[in-house]
Amino acid sequence: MDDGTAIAAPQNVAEVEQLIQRLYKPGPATLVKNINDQLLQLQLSQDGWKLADELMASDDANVRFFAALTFTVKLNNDGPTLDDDTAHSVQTRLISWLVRLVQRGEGGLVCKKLCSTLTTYFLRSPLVWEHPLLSLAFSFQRGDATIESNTTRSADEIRDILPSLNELQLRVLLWFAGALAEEVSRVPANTPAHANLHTQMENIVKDASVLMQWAFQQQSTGSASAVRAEALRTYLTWINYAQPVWPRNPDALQYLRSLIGQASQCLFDEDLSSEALDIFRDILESYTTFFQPSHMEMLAAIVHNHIRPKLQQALLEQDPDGLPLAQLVIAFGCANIQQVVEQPDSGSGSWTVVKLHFDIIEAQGYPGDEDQLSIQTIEFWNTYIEYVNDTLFSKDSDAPDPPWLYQTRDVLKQVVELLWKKIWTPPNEVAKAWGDSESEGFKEFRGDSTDLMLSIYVLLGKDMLQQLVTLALRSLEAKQWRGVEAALFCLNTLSDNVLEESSSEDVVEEIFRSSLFRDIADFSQNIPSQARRTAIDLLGSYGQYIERHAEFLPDTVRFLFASLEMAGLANAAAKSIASLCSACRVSLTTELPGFLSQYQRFLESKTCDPYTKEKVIGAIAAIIQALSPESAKAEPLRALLVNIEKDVESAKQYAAEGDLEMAEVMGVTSLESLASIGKGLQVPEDVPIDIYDDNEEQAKKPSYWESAEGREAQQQIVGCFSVLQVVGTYSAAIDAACQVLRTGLTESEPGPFVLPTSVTVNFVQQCSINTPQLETVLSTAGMMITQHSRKDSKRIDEDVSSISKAVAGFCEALRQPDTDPTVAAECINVLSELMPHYVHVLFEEMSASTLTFILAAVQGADSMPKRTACEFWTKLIKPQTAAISEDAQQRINQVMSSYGQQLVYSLLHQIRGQAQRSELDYVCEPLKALLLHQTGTQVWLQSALADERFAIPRVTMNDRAMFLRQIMGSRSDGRKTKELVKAFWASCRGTVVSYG
Amino acid sequence: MAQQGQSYYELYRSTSVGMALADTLDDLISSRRIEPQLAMRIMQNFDESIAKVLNEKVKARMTFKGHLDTYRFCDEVWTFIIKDIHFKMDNAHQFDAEKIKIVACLAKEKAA
Repeated sequence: MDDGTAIAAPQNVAEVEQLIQRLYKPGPATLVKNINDQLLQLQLSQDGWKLADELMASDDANVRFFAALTFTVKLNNDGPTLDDDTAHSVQTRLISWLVRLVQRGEGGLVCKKLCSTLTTYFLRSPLVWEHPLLSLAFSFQRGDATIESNTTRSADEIRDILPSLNELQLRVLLWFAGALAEEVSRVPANTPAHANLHTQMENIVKDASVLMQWAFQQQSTGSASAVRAEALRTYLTWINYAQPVWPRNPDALQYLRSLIGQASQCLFDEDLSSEALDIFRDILESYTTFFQPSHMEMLAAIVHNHIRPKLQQALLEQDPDGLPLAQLVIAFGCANIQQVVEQPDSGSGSWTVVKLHFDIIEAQGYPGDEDQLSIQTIEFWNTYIEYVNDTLFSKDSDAPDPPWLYQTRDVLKQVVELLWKKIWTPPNEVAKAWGDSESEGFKEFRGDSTDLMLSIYVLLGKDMLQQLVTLALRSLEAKQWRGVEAALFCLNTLSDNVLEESSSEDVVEEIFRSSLFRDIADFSQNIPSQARRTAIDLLGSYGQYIERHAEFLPDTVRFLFASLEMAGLANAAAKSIASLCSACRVSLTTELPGFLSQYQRFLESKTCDPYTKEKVIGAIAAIIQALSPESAKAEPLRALLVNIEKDVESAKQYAAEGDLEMAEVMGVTSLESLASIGKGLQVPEDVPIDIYDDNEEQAKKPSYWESAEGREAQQQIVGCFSVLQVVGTYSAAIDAACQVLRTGLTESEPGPFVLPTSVTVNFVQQCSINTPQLETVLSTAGMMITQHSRKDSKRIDEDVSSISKAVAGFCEALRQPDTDPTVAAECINVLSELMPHYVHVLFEEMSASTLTFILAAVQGADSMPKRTACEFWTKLIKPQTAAISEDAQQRINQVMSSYGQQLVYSLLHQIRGQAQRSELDYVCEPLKALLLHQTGTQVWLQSALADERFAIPRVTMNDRAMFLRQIMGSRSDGRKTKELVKAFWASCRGTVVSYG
Repeated sequence: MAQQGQSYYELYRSTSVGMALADTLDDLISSRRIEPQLAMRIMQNFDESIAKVLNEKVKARMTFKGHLDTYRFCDEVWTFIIKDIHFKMDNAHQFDAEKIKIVACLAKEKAA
């Protein structure tokens, strides 16, 4: 249907021009595409050269741009096959056009495009163009294209030509020089085909360097300034080119290094300083060795004499223009870090660098808000401490300390104090005015600062701890709560390292013996809530210390429980209670009754919400876990469960009243709290094992949880699942219920949450294909089967059989794996888990339709079921890893002889192009297993490859036969099989074998 | 500084985002919408960009503690195998792993 966008082929140049003009005007996408297609056809035609030449004469800049583009397209397509005369003619036309257009004052768009086209000519022409810059300069001087004779021209001639060129001509020459460096840098330097181009660049750099030198000498005022600016950009492009190509070519590099002095003068130029700062920073950061010691000395002088006063002024005035200055100082410091650390008082600016970094952090303003510089200095200090630590840790342990170490420690102590001061939280009136970006920026600076402190702690150790504790206590005495908070924040970050050294305990004790927690617990005092929160976090972070100093423990936890009822502190308190009770569970058992009653009070408070409730109930459960004997756990556990039962009842009540929203909240909370209790009751992983306690009688003794009394508590837990009657349609509830079951599944000894397997089985049986989070239920069932497949675990054939039946039912209900790929994948996964220990159950329960379902998953497009199905078949084909009955083995053989051909067909369907590259690894696994363990594989493969459904034009019958031969030959080499499959897949798919 | 011609490590190609990109490029090549050379160039850009983005944009942090089992430094690549690791995320989430392998390469290519 004609939608008005069809384009007729243009009949003459005027019509082509019109088309180009329409191309650059706004219009419907289809119109633009149609015009583009027509024009591309013309560009690629035999008349493309002529057309480009004629379009160059147009009055419209867009048309001239398109003409240059047409030359580029032609050169890219036909360049290497041009005969010498045509190549020479194209070169002459291009230079001629550029010279004439520049004479007419052509704009940057077309001139830059023509420079790029000339570069394409340089790269693609069969003729070697030895002095492209000289040719263009000479042509500018002569007023028309003049191609130098390679043998008679000297590169130095350009020096004589440049004074006769105007500013635009100089800029165009610089664009051309930059384009050459940029384009040639994209050509690989390590292939013989391109080596010649890079050798040519070693000559061209001589002309480029003379050109840039002349450009840098231009006046720094008026339009001549644009020439200097262009020279700077071209200079950077050439340095970028040189870095990877000339690492061992100092002669070529020297042409660029000789310009450093002149380029650095741009740092003093008002108009160019910003760009020059950026360029010098770039080179310092990523090509440090470009600068030789003499250049670094020169830069040090510039930093000291020129940048330092300007930066200090900017810091004083909080002027954002200080940013590029600071960035240069940071880059210079990092590039010279050895000098800065080891010769702090040297004349080459080390102290200036350190002092300026101090000044930046000391300046007014909050990081992330008006202070944008402090966060940048962290990089320098990270480099500084990394150098110091590397040097000290790599010296012999009996070698004396380096002489600079004393001063370094002093510098770093100052850094710690400055950072501490800088991370003080802002007063409320400032913080209230902040948006997300300022808050995030400030938070990021705090995080970066404390990360840096961790590195500094490696060197300063206990001295730094003492410094921070002193800062905290001094601030506490002065009631400077923000100072206290900042110091505690730093101490929190260091906690893991501090707690590793018992020698630091006396310093930590100063904090715990101070009035800090008495003050914090006094809610009548006007203390910023952030300070209280950080103090609460400290209790969580130093849990191990408190555990070793039980005298602090009860008061601490009581204080935390009191904080739980304070708005703004509840979450932090709940978190610290959880971590402290978990770490110090053994020491807190005597406090359990008190905590239980405090918890009851907390349940009535306004700050009680699902998060705090769950954390605190888990914390109390952790203390219960530490009680001994097991029977002592029952009563407090049941006391906790009563609270859950209340939530369950209220969920049911809300549901009965029709308030489904509240029913969901209460129901999910009850199950999540139950899971939290289960997690708290898990035996800690670091619990000591008595290796002498191998009394078998004791081992055989039934656990308390298997007794009638123990079972009663378990019944109470199972009873809470009744809430699913009202919230069973909510994902969060099903997730939480699975979480409860999982807490017991991971335990190796009986416990209150190690529930009878029938509970999980019943749970699975109650689910239908419409149950939300059915995949989580299935993965929980899979986990149970895994646990009962371990060497010494009890086998549960009956339960496994029930689960298999349910899973087969889900597969049947799904009909096809793509109905719900996630559930399908989990179903197959559960069936996979049956091998090898329940393989007999697998064949009892699995019908032909289930096997067909798994086969369909191999052939399908969905990645997850495909993956698990491939795993299933691989497991089935390979010899079982445990002894199985003869009958079971026979069933496996029957399945393979019935389904082998179909499986091979499905796998080949993937390999012929259905699979994604990322799926090939696991698609190969069943094929590898078949090749090794199934004798009929060759026939199956042959038949599948010959199948007409396999036909694809890209792959001939010969290719298929070759693939069959090769793959059969690779049967004992899994890696080779994978490579062959990948190569065959790539040819079928019409893509590359690898992107390497 | 953009360093043309510089090669970047390919280790992020095996991440899920890297594999997804390879799959997409395969689709585009198969349907003849792009040439394989362009796809390879895109993959090289990915190598460069992912290293840059992870370095500059990702602000999440994590600490971990464990037992250093094996370490080596070969061809400018550090490898650490750590056992019994405890991770702490900055959102206070904590988790454990039996064993992890850390492969670390130079973030910044230093000039020779």
